This record gives sequence, structure tokens and C-alpha cells, in this order.
Amino acid sequence: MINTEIYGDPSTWSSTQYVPFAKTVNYGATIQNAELTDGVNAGKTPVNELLENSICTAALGSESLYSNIIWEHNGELATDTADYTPYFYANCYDSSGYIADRGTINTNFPLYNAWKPFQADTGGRQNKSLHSRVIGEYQPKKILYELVVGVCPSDDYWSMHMYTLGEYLGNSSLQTTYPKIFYAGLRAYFDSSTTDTPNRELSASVRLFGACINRELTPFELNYKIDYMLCRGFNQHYSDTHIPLYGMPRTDILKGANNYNFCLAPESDISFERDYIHIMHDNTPDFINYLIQQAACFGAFVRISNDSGLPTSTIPLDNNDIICGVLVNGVGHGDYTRGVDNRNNDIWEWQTNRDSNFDPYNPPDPTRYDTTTVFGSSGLLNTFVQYYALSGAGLTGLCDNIYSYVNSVDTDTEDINKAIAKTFYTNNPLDVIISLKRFPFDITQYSSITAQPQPVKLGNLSIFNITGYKLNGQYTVMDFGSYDCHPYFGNTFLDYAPYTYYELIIPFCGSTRIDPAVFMGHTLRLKMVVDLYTGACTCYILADNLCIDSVSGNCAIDIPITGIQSADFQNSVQNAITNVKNARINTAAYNMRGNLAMSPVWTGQIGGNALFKGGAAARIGNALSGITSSLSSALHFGGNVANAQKEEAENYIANQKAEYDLQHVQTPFASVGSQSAANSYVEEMQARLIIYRPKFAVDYNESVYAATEGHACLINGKVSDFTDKGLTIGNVKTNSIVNNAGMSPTAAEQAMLKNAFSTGVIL
Amino acid sequence: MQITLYQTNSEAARVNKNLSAIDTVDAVPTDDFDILAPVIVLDYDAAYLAANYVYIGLFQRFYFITDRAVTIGKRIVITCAVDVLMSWAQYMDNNDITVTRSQAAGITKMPDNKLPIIPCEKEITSTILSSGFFTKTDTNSYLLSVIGGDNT
Repeated sequence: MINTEIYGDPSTWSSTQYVPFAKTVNYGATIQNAELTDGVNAGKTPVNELLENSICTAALGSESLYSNIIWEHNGELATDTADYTPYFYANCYDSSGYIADRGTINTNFPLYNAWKPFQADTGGRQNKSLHSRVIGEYQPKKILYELVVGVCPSDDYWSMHMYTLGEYLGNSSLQTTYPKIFYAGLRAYFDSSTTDTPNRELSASVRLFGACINRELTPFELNYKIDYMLCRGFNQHYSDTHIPLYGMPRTDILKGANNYNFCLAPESDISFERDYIHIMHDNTPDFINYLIQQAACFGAFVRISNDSGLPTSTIPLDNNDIICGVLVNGVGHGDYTRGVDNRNNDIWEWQTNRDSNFDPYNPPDPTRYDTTTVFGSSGLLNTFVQYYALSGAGLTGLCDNIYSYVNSVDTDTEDINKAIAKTFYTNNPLDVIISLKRFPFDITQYSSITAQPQPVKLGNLSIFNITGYKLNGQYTVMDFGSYDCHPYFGNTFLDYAPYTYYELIIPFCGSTRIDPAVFMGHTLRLKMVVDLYTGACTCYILADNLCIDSVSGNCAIDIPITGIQSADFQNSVQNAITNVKNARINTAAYNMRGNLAMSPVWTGQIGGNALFKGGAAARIGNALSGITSSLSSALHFGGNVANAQKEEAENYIANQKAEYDLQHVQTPFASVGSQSAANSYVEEMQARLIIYRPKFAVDYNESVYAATEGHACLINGKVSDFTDKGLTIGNVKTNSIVNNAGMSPTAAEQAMLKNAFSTGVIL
Repeated sequence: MQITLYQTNSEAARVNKNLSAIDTVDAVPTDDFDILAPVIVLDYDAAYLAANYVYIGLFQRFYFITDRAVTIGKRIVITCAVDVLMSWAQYMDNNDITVTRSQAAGITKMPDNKLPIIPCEKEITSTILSSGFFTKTDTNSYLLSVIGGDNT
């Protein structure tokens, strides 16, 4: 779009032999006093007007100072035709006045007024016939910018030098000698060739100049009266001029002696040295990145390094030394492509800068929406828990290995409980196993793992014949398929809900209905995130790269593990052995006493004792009450039984019971986890998109329907717009109808007209 | 008052109707002459019975003939109704209009409740989006979580 009211028709734009690829806007042959009026073309310069995408460096957006021309005088916006200073320019060049002006300026300010159209003043800084132009059109691939930096020593701001960023970063001694960067800008190489292979030359007669920020700086006063600041590119050592990057002005201060009161300067981080304000920056990677991002905002090809060693005049635009800004809705935000990726940048195909879809008069939403959902990574944080990925066969013998270890403990020389606790940190080996889960995929394919399988380590016990890959991350994120959503019914209402709707069926997560309007014309993507610790899985549904929805489930099956509570087992054995020992000791002690003092009684009781044995044997192994019952019957059979005999019988029974208990120590079992449902494993293991679309009646005839009913629409226009368009139904205004005889319809006729249009007319 | 009798086979909703002139005759209005719905008396001519459209130059309007009657005295009485479209639409070219249905628009993004969609039927298509992830393989598909060991 060209604002021809301001700039005139492009056919009237001037061009020069130096830059045949570019057309320059011809809104004023000479900037002189009184030429400035209202921005109309043909000798006038626009005032405070946005430059179009065909004019400005579109990528900077409508808010950019480069996209405006503002006329100011002593800090006030221009309001009349007085002699004002053009304040912001974009990609301007000066075809003739530069050298002459430089030679006439005040020697006290050798660089002052060197480039910019400037009002005549009383100090001899007349602008002469400076031919300022705004470049209206150019081919992006015909301009290669080069990022240049002004540098100086830390303690000598006057020893400033200019290098390309590539020269500076490629020479460590330069960075050491000149660690401060006080300026950065873009200089341009123009290519007059007709091919993509550049043959660029920086013409001595072509000057870039631009503007730089000053609005965001806070004015202050030092020894000079400071009204506002004029900025320009640094050009002390180079004949070319630059477009300074945002925040990187080189500012002249005009001393107040002759009422040349200009300047506005930052509050801090500046250095006054002679006539300049320098904003010093340290040479840090972050700052270098900032410069590159600022350059990328121009949406142009920019050389940022010298790694290739190729001269800028011939370097291909897809060389890795060159970046090209990426534009979003025509506006740059600092992103860029580099090297061969430049070919994938839209700008590569632009024939002119007017191919930008940025329209300053209808700018895009200034908010830069983040349309990319970033899925992060997660490291293994729990160092007390290890996760092993094993195959099913690898699990075989895990429990056996635990048993083998427990059995290998020599209980004659070592306390088994202590041995188990020392190995497993607990008195139950099974406690070291937290869970065993089965996943429906090869875990090692989708997660960070150790390079080689390692022996499974239970507590402090390495089981060398069972190996698995140790996990180094908890989550795994996988692409789970995509689908390019295209309209089926010509992008009509039939392609959208409630007529058409999409449903996703996702393994382990169920199904979810999604709105076609969100995905139409975009790529529906699925990303599956699995928590390997718990088996929880979440499927994220993305439109291109932006997450829109998610569904969750669980894709792991819990497998229970059962084993011996070995500590309890050993305790039971130990107790039983102790009981046997005690019983036998009691029996031996009794026998010893009987042999000494009670032998007659002992002898006389043999029969009864034998019977007792018979009665007890029938019940031994049962409850103690059964044993007691047999004892009573034996005592009764023996008649007058002495207490000594009773004690002997009790010892005998205790002995028998202890031995029985020892032989029948029950093995205590324990389990880890429980079996979880595996129904989902019989599902389809792939995500599926089901699209439900409406069906027309069998007898539907589109042309007949259109002629008799008309298709629903909402079109605003004039009645004449619908001539010969067939049946037209709508609401019409009936005012201002006058026929050739000067007659107008009556109110009743107007109502009839409205009614006729509302029911359908054929114009 | 001269009128021109026409025969037209164009639909009433058409602005520019195809007209075949039958005759231009003098007409006699009835007592009260309604410009929007005039009743006109003509001398009988069998050809007039074919007319279904009429233009009255005096009023600069076109009319549908909505009724005709042959009366005694060899007269034909025609009852008319103004055709506002033919009479005025040609002078409405610059009038604003919001068109809500159009033959030429085709199916648009505006919902059309008249379109004969069968609510009880759907065309269902199915597409597999993913493959090769959930393979149910036995290889390295078991995850054993244990306490202990180092984190190497």
C-alpha cells in the first residue's frame, strides 16, 4: 500500500544510477525552510506520518521511530511551516550533499550535521542542497547490512574505533584492547546485479542514515543547556553512515555558547567526552546477542560474523555469517534465521519490501502472542531410588536372588537380622522394591538412560545376573502423531461445529471432542508425556505448536511382587529353637532329680505314663487344651499320682510341643503392590481422529436450492453490487430514490420495496 | 390516459422483467383512482385479455394485472397492483443493502438452517494419527523401582 497522497504515484519517484534497484520517494527535492507544510507530496515532506510498508523498514512496526517522520523544533512537534528538523528517517540516503556539507561545517564540531537534512542556522551549518530521499522500494536481497560496532578502551573514550562485529568478535586482542562498545549500527551494501549472487558495493554516494531513540531517555542538564538530542550514525573513520540500533545512539552535544541548544541524554552510564555522549556497554555475550536481535528486527539480511572469511561484497546470502530477521505479521521481534535456513525465510522470496504484509495504517495486534508451548525436560532428582528398565525375561530370578542371599548368611557366625539390615537398609529385603510396572513401549527408546545395562542393585546388594538400563529422567515426551486439518466443505459453516466435529481417541486417555474451528487450517499435533515413575500419561493436543487441550490417563500396569518376610521367618525359627532347648533342659533337670529321690514312684508309673503317651499322641500338634485333657486322663488312670509325676509329664509335653513348633514354623509372605487393571492394553495402541461430518438429503440439488432459497450469507454493499447475481434477499434502505421524472416512492411503496427485498428479488 | 399493455412471463421478484407489448391504448379510470392499485376500464379487444402487465406513463409506474373482467357494453375492467421493483429498483443502485441470502454466494461460513442436512446421519471418517510408540513390546518395558544404589 502506498500513500500516494503523501508520496505521489510511484511513477513519479526518483531513482539514481547508484541504486538502480531502489526507488526513492520524491516528496521534496530540497529540504529548505518553508517547504514543510502538511506532508502533501510534490515538494513537501510529510509531518508525523507513518511510512507505509513500501517505504519504511516495515519489520520494526508502526511503533518504531524508523517508521515515522516527525518534525520537531526545540522538542515540540511541528505545527506550521517553520524551520523544523526532520527527526526520524528510515533508510534514507543522500546522493550528493554529504561531502560538501562535511567540508563546510564548524571545525569545532567536525561531525556535526554531517548527514542529516538540517535547518540553516546562524552558525554556518547550513544544509546546503542536501538531497534527502526515502527509499520507497527495494529488493531485500539487494541489500546486505553489516553490523558494525564502535569500541574503545575502558579508560580512554576518545580512542574509539569502528569494526564490523565479525572483525571484533573474531579478534580476541581487539576485545581486550577495546572492551567497551558505545555504538552499534547497520551499514549497507547495495547490490546492483540482477542475480542472487551478490555483487555488492558500498557506493560512496549512497548514505544510509537513520534515527535512533531518544524519547525514552530522561533529559538532564550538565554544563550545557540541553533541550533535546539529535542522533546519528557513527562515521568518524568510515565514509559510510549507519542506521543506529535501538538504544545505541551516538549523540552530539552542541555547546550552548551560540544558542545551539540541543541534547537530551540518559541519566546514567554515559560519558561526556568532548562533544559526544557515549553510552558504554561491556562486551558480554548477552549484549552481543542483544545487538544481533536488534539487527534482526529490521527483517533484513545482516552479516554478523566473519567466520567464512569471504568478502561482504560477494558473500552468498545463505552463508552462515548472515542472518535474516523473522517477521511475525510483518513485524520483527528479534528472531532470525541463519545460513542455509535463510532460504526458508519468507523474505528470501520477496521481490520488493512491499511484499511485507505489514500495513502501518492497519497494524497488527502489537501484543506478540506466544504461540509455542514448550515442553521441558526433567532430570532424575531422587538419588535414593533407582529405576531400571528391564525386559520381562530379565526379571526372572529376581526373587530367587533375594532368597539366595538370605540363605547364604551363615547363621552360626552372623546374626541374620543384622546381615539383612546391613544389605537392604531394612530387615525385610522386599521393602527395597518400591514398584514394578510394565509400560506398553520400550522405555529405553524414549527416555534418558545409561549407555549400558547395569546390574540391578537392591539396597546395597548388586545382582549381577540381572541387568537393566538405569533411567536418568522421570518424564518422556513423544510426538504422538499429527493431522493437517483442511476444510471439507469449502471452509463453509458445514466444516465447523455443530455440523462437523472432531473426536480424538487416545490410548490410555480415553476420548475427547475438539472444536474444528481451533484447528482448521492448522496442524493438529499430539504429544504424549509419560511419567515413568507413576505411569501417568497426559496427551497434549496442540494446534501447530500451541497446546490447546489435554487428556490424561495411566499407561502402566502395576505388577505385584510377593516374597518372604525373611526377618519374621528367622525370628520364628529362633524362637522355636529356643523353646525346644528350654523344654529339653527342663526334662533333663527333672530326670536328674528323679533318679536321685523318686525312682519308686517313677517305676510304678510306667503303665500310666505309657497310656498318657497314647492319649497325648492322638492330639499332639493341636491346641494346648487337647494336650491338657489327655494329661488329666492319664493322671486319673494312674490313681494317686504324685506332683513329681505331674511335673514330669508337663515337661514331656512342653518338649514335644516345642519340637512340633520348630518343625512347623510358617513362612510369612509379603507383597509389594497389587495387580492393576490392564484393560487398556487391549485397546488400539494408536491415536485416532474421528471426524463427523453432516450429510445432505439425497435429493439436495445445489443449483436449485440456490435459485429458490439462496445461500445464507452476510454481505454489505450497494444494490448495484448484486445485479445479475440471481436471487438476493436482504434488508435495503429505501431513502433517496428518485426516478427520471423526479418522483419518489410513497411510504407504502417503500414498505413494499423493503418487503420485496426481504422475501427475495432478482436484480 | 395512455397505458401500455404487456405480457410478461418473468417472475414477480425479478426487477427487470421481459415484456412483450400488446398495445398502447387510452384508458378510462374508475371513479376513485388508486395510484398503487388502479382499476382501469378499456374497450373490449380480445388481445387485451392476454395482457398481465401494464405501464402507466402518467404515474411512471409498472403494474401487475391482478384481475380482469369483461363487462356489459364491450368493456374490459382490469385491476392492477403496482410493481415497485420494476418501477423503482432501477433507481436504487446506490442504496445500501445487507444481503442475508444470495443465490450467488454459495455456501458460506454463515450457518444456513434451511440447508437440507439430515440430522440423524453423519459421514464418519477415521484417521490414525500415530504409530510405533505404544508397541506393547516386551523389550525393556518393565520398570523396576528400588531403593538403594548410587546415582551413576
